[in-house]
Formats: sequence, C-alpha cells, structure tokens
Amino acid sequence: MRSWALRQLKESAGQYAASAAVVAIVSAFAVLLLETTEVFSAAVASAGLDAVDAVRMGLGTVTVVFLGIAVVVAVLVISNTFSMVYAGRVRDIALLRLIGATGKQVRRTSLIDGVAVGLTGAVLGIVAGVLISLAAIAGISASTGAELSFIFVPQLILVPLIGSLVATVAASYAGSREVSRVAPIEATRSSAEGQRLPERAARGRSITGVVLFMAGLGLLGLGTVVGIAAPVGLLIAFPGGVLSIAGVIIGSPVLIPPVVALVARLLPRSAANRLAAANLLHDPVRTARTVISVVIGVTLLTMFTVAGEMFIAATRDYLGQGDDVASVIDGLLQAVYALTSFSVIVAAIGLGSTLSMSVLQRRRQIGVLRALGLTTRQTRRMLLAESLLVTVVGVIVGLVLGTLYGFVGANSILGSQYFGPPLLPPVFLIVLVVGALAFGALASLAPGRRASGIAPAVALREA
Amino acid sequence: MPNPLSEPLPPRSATPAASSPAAQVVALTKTFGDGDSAVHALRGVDLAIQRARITAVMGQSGSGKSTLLQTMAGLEPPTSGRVLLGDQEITGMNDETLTRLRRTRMGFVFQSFNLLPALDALENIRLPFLLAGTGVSADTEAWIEILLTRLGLADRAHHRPQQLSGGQQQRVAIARALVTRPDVLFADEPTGSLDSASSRDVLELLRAASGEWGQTIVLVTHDPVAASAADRVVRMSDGVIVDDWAGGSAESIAERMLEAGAR
Repeated sequence: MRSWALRQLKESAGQYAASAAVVAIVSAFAVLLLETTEVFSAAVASAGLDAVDAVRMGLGTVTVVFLGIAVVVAVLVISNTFSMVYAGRVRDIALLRLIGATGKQVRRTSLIDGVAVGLTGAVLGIVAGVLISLAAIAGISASTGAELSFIFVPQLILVPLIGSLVATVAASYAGSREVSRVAPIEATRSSAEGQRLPERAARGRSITGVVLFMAGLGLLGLGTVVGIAAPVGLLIAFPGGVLSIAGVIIGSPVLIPPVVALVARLLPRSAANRLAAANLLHDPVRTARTVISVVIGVTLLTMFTVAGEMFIAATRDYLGQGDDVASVIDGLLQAVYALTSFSVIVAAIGLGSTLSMSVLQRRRQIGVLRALGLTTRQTRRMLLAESLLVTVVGVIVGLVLGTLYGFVGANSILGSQYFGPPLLPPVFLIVLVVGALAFGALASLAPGRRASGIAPAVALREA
Repeated sequence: MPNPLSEPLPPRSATPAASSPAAQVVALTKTFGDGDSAVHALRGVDLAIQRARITAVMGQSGSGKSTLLQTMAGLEPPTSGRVLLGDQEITGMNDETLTRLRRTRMGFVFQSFNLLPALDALENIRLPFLLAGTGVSADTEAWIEILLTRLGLADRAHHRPQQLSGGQQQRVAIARALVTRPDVLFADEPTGSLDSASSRDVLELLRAASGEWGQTIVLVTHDPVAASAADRVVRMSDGVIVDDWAGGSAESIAERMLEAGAR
C-alpha cells in the first residue's frame, strides 16, 4: 500500500509543483511577517521607547489576519489540486479496493501526498523567506544607516512548518474524501466524471451557507446602526463579516454556479464561450473553489480601499481639511495592497494550475471536440473563456462583498460622527478589473497551448 | 424504444453523382517512428469508398484498420500516398482547413461514444453547429426532431450522458454524426462497448441511414455481426488489403475470416 502511494506521489509530482509553490509562497510570507515583527520590536526597544508591547501587538495582529487569509486561499487552491489528482487515480483506487484495500487505507495514502507537498513547500518557503529577510535588512540598514540585524527565533521555522503541514494534510484529506468512497465496481467503469455534490449534501451546504451569510448580514447591519450611536460598532460588525464570508465559502458550490451561468449568458454565444461555461458548470465544487480563491483577494482589496476612502472623506468633511490624514491612510493602503498581494498571487497560481490539470483530465474530451471540428484557435479561446469567466465572477462577487464590508467597517467606527456612502474610486476599479482580466488571460496561456496541442486522433486512440 | 424503421427517413437534400467515390485513398502508407523501431501500419493501401453504402473494414488488432480510418478522416497525416474526400485532395491541408472539413463533411461515431459529459443529449447533437458558429436553421431543427424520434431519444433530449445507457449514448452519438448530413460517416467499432440488443439497434440505424437516406459509412470493426450490416467488406492484414467482397451474413463473414486466418 505504501509503495503504491509513493509511486503515485512520484507520478503526480509535476501536478503538485504549483501546490508546493503556493505553500512556499505562504511560508515565505509567514517568515517575512514574523521577522518584521522581531526586527521592529528590537529597533523600538533599542531606541529606548516603551512601545514595544504595542508594536508587537499591532504587528502580531497584522500577521495573524493577513497570514490567516493567505492560508485560507492556499488551502482552497491546494485542495483543488488534491481532488483533481485523486480523481485521476479513481480507477487505480477502485482496483485497490477491488483487491481488498479499505477506504481508510486509501485515505491514509493521501496523507503521504499531503505531508510531501507541505514539507517541500515549507522548506523552500522558509529558506526563501530567510534569504529575502536578510537581503531586506541589509538593504534597509545600508540605506537608512539604522543598525538592524537578523534575529533568529524558533517561530520562524516552527510556524510555517507546522502551519504548512496542517494545511496540506487538511487539504489532501478534503480532496481525498470523495475518492476514498469510490466503490470497487468503479474499476470496471470508464473515466472519472466531474465532482457533483450529492443532492442532500448540496442542500445541506446551501442552507448552512445561507444561514451563516444571513446571520453575518444581520450583525453587519446591527454593527452599522450601533456605529451611528457610538464608535464600537466594529466589535459587532467584525464577527458579522467573518460569518458572512464563511457562509459564502461554505455555500459556494451551490451559490457560485448560478452566478457563473448568469455571466456566461452575457457573453457572445460562441462555441468557445458556450463550452467554457458548460465545463465550469459541470464541476461546481472545483469551479467554486477557484472562484472563491479570486473572491477573497478582491474582497480584501476592495474592503480596505472603500474603508480607506471613506476615512479620508470623513476627515476632510469633519475637520475641514485632512491632507495629512489622507497621506497616512494612503500609506496604510499601500501596505495593505502589498500584504494582500500574496493571496492574489496564490489565487492566480491556483487558477492556472487548476486549468492545466483540467486540460490533462479532459484530454479525451478535447480530442473529441477537435475531431468534431473545434479549431486550435477555438480550443485556446475556450480555455481563455474558462479563465476569464472565473476571474470576472470572482471580481463581481469580491467587489460586492468588499464594498459592503468596507462601508460597514467605516461606518461602524465613524458613524457616530460622520455617516457616509461607500466610496469606490474609479481608478481602483479600473486597475482592479484590468489587472484581474490580465491575470485571467495570463493564467490561460499555458493550459490553452497544452489543450490546442492535443491531437484529434486521441478521441479514437485512448479507448 | 420505438422501432427505428417505423418512419421513413427524408430524402437526402443533394445527391451527388453516384458514380464517383465519396472518399478515396491511393497508394497510402503510414509509418510510425523510424529506424529499427519503425512500425509500418499501412504499406500501400488503395481503396475507394462508394456513396450511399456501408463499407466495413475488418482485421485483427494491429492490422492497420484503425490507422486507415484515422488517415482517411484526416486525423493523421499519411507518410506517403493520397487521401481524397469526394474529388478534393486532403493530404497536405493545414490543420484549420482540415478541422473545418471534418466539421462540415465528416461524421464520427466512436467505440466509447465520446459524448461531452457537460452537455445534455440535444446539446451534444447540436454540437457541430455550435462549433461552426452557425445557427441551427429551421430545416435542420426539423431534421433534429426527426432524428430524435427515429432514434428513440425524444424523451431523453435533456438527459446528460451519465443518465443514459450505453445504447442510448451511442444513438445520441449517431444523431450527432448524422445531423450535418456528412459526406462520409466514420464509425470506429461502434458496437464494441454495447450489449447485443443495443448493438442490433445501432446497426439497424446505420443500415437505415445508408439504405434510405443515402449516407456513406465507413465502419471499422472486428465483429462479424457488425460487418454483416455492410454492403462491402474489406479485410486488412499487416497494413495491406488482403480481401474485398460483398459481405453477407455474420456466419459467412466469420467463416471467411477464419479460413483466411488458417491459411
């Protein structure tokens, strides 16, 4: 059993490369955040200021929030990879079940993959994170003349290592759950189908998702109202935000596909667009995970931008002029953009690798389409349309949620003095949309090339 | 399912001159790999496919019958020789032109059905028009209705492939291949994954398509029962045609194949 698992791991190594890269990015991010906290605290302490605890608290909160968000995105992306790799092994697994392997044994083999990906990514990420930290510290010291030096604490290794392992093992477990239920009889059937949620599970998910979302909305509303009276609304609104986004994530396999269908209907009715929509809707779980990984990044960027703009507007209105405040908030926004960029990069890698793997799984289908008359250019366009549909839906949902959160967040704090409408700067909107479309187009290049290279004779050969 | 032969098929809209072949290969060779590991799948094949007939290509695995079908259909370029569709030379055509040709003038039926799981039965049938980007004309819409009824799929139009039996899936695939009224329908072991009752349905449909509607069909099979639906049987061995006769009952075909194998 173990030798089978190790051989499978070797065969899937290429497919895991993107996941390992994602783990490495998040691990490096963790090292950078932790090291920043250490170096800043040390600098503050050596300056003789007694704000060390406050600095630690502040940076610690930033670390927990942004690292946590990156981890959630990474888990979504990685569990997609695992479930696709395992789907490709369905026949082998069924064969193992046929000759006597238990479902539990099958699930256990998935741990090997999870540990391997987590370990590889964590080690690469920690090394990269330390190197970047050293370079950054040297650079800052040289340019500012400050006496900064690298501080080693065990957390630098322990946090990313343990975090990565927990995340990848959880993702591999989530990905393998479906496959370990494969009945031995599947060995005798043909290729694996798209992952469809069973009727009852789907209803359960959508109910849970909607209930959480509504509860979250309720708290967000309450927080806003309380905020008008006193600046403590955020304490109520914040859990509301967490609940509602959790509701969106849990309910996504049920809630996201209708949005995809709606957006697809607005596209020109070409073969590439129509097939792209059908492919996405055929596997709601995979599509939902990919969309959500985009949604999270867009939501964050939008939320902070809207809240930031509202703060600026409020201080201008309230104080008559607030140029200093505006520049401070602008600076904070830049920091937030930089911190969020990690989860955006992870989402982009996830989108590209999910598309690539889906091409691998659909070799035969694409061969059939080519035999029936899909040109190579149409094939590339089909992949482009899949990628752009995911990105556009992610951007729409993210914009709606982000604007809501930003509006509620700002008013729950400022509402007692100044209650304003949500502000979404056109420049931000344009950069976001253009950037997302560029990311989507870029992510579809490699899979599109791979798909258009599939010979139509594949339809006949692989019986 | 309703008897597929209970309603007459409409006449083919344009019947080209019956004398010229629908497709033709001349001195066709195909070699995979080179040097010592070269495999000579076709070693000089001449074959003219008659219009409105079923031509069965038989032979054992490795005889070259599948390679012949792939080359005739423009899915694989030949190593040497010529491939013609009607009187049009397709050897040397670029991928784009060939793809359009397959879309409009060829139909395919595969052993493993190869319906797209993301599309329902009707969408699968309409797929060639979707790929072409042309709308479905009222005339074609009526033709699809007739096909659905004749193939016993009227109440299955909005089922997904996964919800259909193997026989039903293959009937959808046949409808998809017939919907463009192609010059040649290539069928690769179309009964290879079916039970005997579903096989009989499929063969009856192919016979009806050729007999009543004038559909030209190239049927690659190793099954004498499937070959018995043909008007002509060609047997291949080691990359050349070794026998070519008017076919007959499954028993007589099996006997002739056995005799040839024993020699």
